[in-house]
Amino acid sequence: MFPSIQPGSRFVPSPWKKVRDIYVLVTLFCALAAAVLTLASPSFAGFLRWLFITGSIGVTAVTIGTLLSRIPGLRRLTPRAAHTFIGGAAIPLGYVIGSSIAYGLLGEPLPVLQPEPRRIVALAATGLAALFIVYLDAMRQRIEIEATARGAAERLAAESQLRLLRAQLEPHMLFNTLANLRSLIDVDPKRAQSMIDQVILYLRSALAASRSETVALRQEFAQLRAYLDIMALRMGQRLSFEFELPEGLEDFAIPPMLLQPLVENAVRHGVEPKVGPSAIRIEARRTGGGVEIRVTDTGLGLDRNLEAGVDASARRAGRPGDASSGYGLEHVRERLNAFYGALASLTLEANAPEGVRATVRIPR
Amino acid sequence: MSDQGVRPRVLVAEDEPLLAGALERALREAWPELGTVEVVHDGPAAVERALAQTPDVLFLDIRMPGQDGIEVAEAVADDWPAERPAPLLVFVTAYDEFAVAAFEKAAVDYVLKPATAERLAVTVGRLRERLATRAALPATGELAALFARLQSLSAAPQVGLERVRIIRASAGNTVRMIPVQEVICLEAADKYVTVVTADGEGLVRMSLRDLAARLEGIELVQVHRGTLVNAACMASATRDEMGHYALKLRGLERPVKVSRAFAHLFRPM
Repeated sequence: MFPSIQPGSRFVPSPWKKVRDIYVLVTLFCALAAAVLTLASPSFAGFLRWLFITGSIGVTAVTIGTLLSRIPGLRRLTPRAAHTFIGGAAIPLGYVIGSSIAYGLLGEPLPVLQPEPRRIVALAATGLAALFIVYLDAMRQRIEIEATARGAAERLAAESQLRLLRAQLEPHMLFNTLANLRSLIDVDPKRAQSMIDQVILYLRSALAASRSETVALRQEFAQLRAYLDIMALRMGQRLSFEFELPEGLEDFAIPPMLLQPLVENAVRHGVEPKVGPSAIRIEARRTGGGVEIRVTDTGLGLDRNLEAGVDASARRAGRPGDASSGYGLEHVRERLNAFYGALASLTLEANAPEGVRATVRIPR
Repeated sequence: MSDQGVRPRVLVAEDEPLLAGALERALREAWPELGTVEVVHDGPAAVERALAQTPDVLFLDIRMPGQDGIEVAEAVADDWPAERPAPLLVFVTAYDEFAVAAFEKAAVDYVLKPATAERLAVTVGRLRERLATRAALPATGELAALFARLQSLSAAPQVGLERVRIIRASAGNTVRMIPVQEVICLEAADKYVTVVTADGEGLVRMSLRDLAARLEGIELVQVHRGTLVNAACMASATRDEMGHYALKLRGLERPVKVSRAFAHLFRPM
């Protein structure tokens, strides 16, 4: 459910340290190939000659491969395509150039023109060694990319979970709610009891949300209702709210607590700073393109919020600015994208005549 | 009015009704000789009622719609009538998000919600003590000093500020370059400051405090919560029958209003 860091999506050339390892490996292979070739007529001089030839081919092939892998355009290819290209070019080229150099230096005629079974063995050995090395390099890279992707996904998951919990258990909200409950116990113990039930429902959903992948809209709305009930207890007449969930959408699955930051924003930046009463309306509906969920408030609008004293208290608290709402929206967008892909969206617009409307669109 | 020393009057500004009710009940319990306790639920109502009733003690919630507790205190200090003793301030908040030390300088006390009976008893003790010793009238400059203390809460001083001698102020599509010596006064309006000169006005999108802190080569005098005047331009101050002062500035036809907190600056020597 996390953004698309798929393993092995793009080719990355081996770091230079790894290139050194490849040279060592190739040299060992060349020694092995030389030893096999010497078996036909064992002698130390024969081994050295073969070692010189295979070594020359191997080193040339790796050098060409390394140089090819640095071509910037290759980074656009998948690792498989890039390795096929590098192997396909470096092995024949390495064979031709490497053996030409070796035979030239030895003062022998190029054996290409005079086929001989030993040549074929040598060719096959070199080819196998080179292929093996290309394969090793490809494997190494795949493992690395997979590990990076897994790490990133795990980090994002943990961060997301933590963020959710922290958002739900915001200390200001908890303290304020408890303070209200404390005074309600004096005045209206019955109501205090039902409020505590709401708090429990809310906390339970917050905790469950940090563990599960999806939740039915019915459940998400129930939890939002619990949250707004708690807020309405605090704000009294100033906050009213309503929900609309058509029958067919009750079991529609969304990521848990997806809407919570939107409703929180409506309360914190819309209703709370406004003098006088405001209403919040949360509705889901089917549209031609899929499902649309809207959170509309009649509180302080967008412009007013940017300018209003909302930030003054943040400044006093020594914080750089009240970035919490922006953070919340960004989080919602991130989760939408991870869950539904790029077609899902969150838009924020002014609501007429006052307030803000947040719309989540989920594609079919 | 005659029993004001005996039965102190309190204004509670708290936007959450249950908490407001709880604070009122707790206060009455901890302070039996209390007179009226009026409760309001937002910033503007708090300013209006405080100036109309001139209570002895203000309990101000920090987070309130309209104006926060500190803005309310500033507005109240600005226009508090000189014939009434200055109010005692107690700030209230649900969550310890503000520097407590700073509040103790500006207010009598600072209470966390929900205030327990024991904690509130301490607050009431301090208030009783202060009420017993406080002057019958605000001393000259007392409100201005309170105002300055409140302002110091509003924003941390900015260090490494770029100081300017020329103000770049927008006037429609043009940007006017105004040398600071030409400034007659600076007036706060919403999130802007109007820079007033002899040949017109310009807007700067900055708070009054921030702008004033940047200016160099000008002596500014605060005469109102939202007004700073160039000391070199002050010509005369006239007192009306209500006790309000209006300031005449050289180069400006209209008079500038002086709030009560700063009226003492214009009494004859």
